[in-house]
Amino acid sequence: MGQSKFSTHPTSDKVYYIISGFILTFILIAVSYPLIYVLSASFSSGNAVSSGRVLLWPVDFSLEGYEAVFKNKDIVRAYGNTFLYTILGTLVNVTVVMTCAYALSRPGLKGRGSFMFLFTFTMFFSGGLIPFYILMKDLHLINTMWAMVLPGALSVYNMIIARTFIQSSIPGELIEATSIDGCSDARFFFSFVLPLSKAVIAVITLFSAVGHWNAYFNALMYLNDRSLYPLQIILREILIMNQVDVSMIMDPELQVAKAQAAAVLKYSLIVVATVPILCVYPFIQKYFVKGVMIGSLKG
Amino acid sequence: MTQQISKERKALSAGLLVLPMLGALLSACSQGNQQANESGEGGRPVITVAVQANPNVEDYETNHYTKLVEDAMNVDLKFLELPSQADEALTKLSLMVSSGAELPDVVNIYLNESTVFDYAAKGVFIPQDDYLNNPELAVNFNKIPEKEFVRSSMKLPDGKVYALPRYSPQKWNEGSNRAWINSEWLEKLKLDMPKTTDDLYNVLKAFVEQDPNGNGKKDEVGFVGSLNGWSQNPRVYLMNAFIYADPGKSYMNVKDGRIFPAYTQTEWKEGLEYMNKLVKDGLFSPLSFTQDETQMKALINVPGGMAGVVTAGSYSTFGQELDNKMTLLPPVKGPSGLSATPYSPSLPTQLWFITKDAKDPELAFKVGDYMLDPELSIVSRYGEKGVDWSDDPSVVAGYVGPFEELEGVPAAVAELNPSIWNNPQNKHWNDANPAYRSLELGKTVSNLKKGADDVLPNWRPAFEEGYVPAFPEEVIVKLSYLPEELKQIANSKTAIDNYVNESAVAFITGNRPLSQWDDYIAELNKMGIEQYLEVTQAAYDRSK
Repeated sequence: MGQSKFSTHPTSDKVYYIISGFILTFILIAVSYPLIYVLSASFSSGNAVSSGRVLLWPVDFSLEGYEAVFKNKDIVRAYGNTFLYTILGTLVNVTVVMTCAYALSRPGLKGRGSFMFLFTFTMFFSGGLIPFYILMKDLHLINTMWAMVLPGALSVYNMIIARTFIQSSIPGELIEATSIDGCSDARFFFSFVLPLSKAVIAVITLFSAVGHWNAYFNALMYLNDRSLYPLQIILREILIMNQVDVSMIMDPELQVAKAQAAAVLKYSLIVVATVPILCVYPFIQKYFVKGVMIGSLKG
Repeated sequence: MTQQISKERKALSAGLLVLPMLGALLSACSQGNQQANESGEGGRPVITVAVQANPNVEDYETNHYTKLVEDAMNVDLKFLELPSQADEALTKLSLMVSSGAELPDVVNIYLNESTVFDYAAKGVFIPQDDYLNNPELAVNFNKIPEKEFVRSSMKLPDGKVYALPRYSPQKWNEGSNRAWINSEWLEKLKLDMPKTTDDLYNVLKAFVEQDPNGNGKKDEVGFVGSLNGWSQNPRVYLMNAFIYADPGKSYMNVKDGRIFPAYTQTEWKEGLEYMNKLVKDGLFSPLSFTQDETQMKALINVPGGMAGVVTAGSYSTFGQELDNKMTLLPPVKGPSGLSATPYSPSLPTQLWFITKDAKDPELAFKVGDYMLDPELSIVSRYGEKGVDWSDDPSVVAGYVGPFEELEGVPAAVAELNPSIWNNPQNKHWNDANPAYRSLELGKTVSNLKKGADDVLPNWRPAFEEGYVPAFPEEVIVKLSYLPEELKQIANSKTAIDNYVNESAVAFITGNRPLSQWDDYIAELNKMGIEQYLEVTQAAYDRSK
């Protein structure tokens, strides 16, 4: 919006633009300040962070936080594991969710209602941790990479979004038209449904990729081997290591001295753990906004 | 529907679905059953140990300490890593127990006593008394001079011992409620170290009124602490000039074997009156009751100084801005002549629990007992002998013992590589194992090279001189409640402890006038303090 154009607007519009501009600028600052603060703090010295001298820009520029993070030999391998689990897990998720959503979107499916009921029932009720652990144990998934990939392969929530999207954006007439030309269900799914559902696939991909990237509880419970640990576990360990837990202490004096490093470490860890996944977001964002809107509005 | 799918499509979709299932199958087949193999490397018997993952321990399997133990005991140690956070490790352990999975031979993580007792009662952990009584098995345990004390303090309420100790007493950690005074300000205003509560009042008054930090503003804070830092509660230091008060024991005192609470005594009230006077006259910062450690550090670590007296357990509370100007302030004497400081005798940490699934519990015990060997105990803290530390007299000659000036104790062990602690290394398990290091050893380990400048002043001797004499004769070492006792007092204890702390702050800040002292006592009686005391007395009598 150029300045010359702006002057031609009626006064009420001008007032509206100015006020909304101020409000939006304020919101932008409120949202971006924490992000900038984290980045700045991660490049500051421990002393500056723990005594609260970091406000906007790095104080006493230092890389001690990053040094402490990358001093750890497991980081690189853990990065690799996290990528593997994320890619594989997302692939499984999207495959299962899309095939299931397509089938349930077809009105002709026998017992559609009871299937839906079964799926949604699991959204609200689960067996709990111990039965799940026993299940994992009996499937021999404990201490294997599949413990990170398979549990939760079908996200019912995502499946409902996808199903609604397919129902609302792909008309039933299309199926009739194609089947007259001799197109099978499977062919229809691959040649029509998938290309037309790019938006919702992007959304589900993002949801599950972020989920796998941040997953750590399953890793804690079902992995016993350091070589299988994902990044989040290692980062968490480093952070906890440098926090003072007075109840468990062997030599509190030593521990307290470490707490300074922990202040910076926290921010360096946040940066290390979130930057890769943040890089994915801009590529998907355009679908993301569109996809969720359509899925929810017309559902 | 006619099936006219192109072949690739079919293969692709089927492949996508089959892949994970196949993977799961394969992994199930290829999963080497770790628990079942009876002999490891070179036909040695295998002992599986659950340890907590630790980012500073690179690899338990190839660790120097592991190798020493394996070779000496002719076993093969295998490890099952539990999460590094205590409560998560506990969750995982309880999952393994409740799902009936086969447990490792030994659980070697920190557990709180109620958890241990719970597992002991369920038979998950086995008692080790029979092994401890056998001089042929408990070889190194029997060499510990304080073994009677160690053993009795590891007893669970059922009178049995289920663990092996890591015991390395250090005076510095036994009385951590320290106060530090700004010595630069004392010199500037030509004041002496305060010896009594009245001296302290006058010194604080001078600090607050005479602008010792020289910035032309009356912004100095007299006495300050924080809500949550290690021993930073400022009330503890001041209260101990009136009555012995140890927050670690919920302010329970003992006299001639009788337990009584400090917070119902008249001396407690006097202490509150004194602190209230300090707050009223602006000498004691009420921020102490609301700020956390970070906020306190931000307040005091400014060039020129901001606070006169700070309560903190560790000297690392003070940043470079203060330039080592803070000096240890010994406990001051109150009006009755009392000067005390809370004393918590070092207790052994319980580790090395042998489980019901141990294939050879006796061997597992022998391995744990071997870890109590004095030299191995040095390895488990300071690293490899001859590389990270040395007791070779020609090397040690170049080091000053931390207590050499005060007590004439020369160094006996030289730390060649102090940075082995708190950094990733592969020499030891970060001391998370049974070990015994005597008090004397602690005084003779040195990283101070002769003639080198110290990074931080060595406060330990000053602490021994000023604080250790203020330890009381008779203290509660440990209270171990039975599960049913805990149930009895579960609600009252928490409510009373909270009420006592809230009331103390309210009285000190003046939000509640001290004329309401009787109401406060009446309220405590209503909360069930009688029963709480009876139960505590029983627990104390049992743990004597």
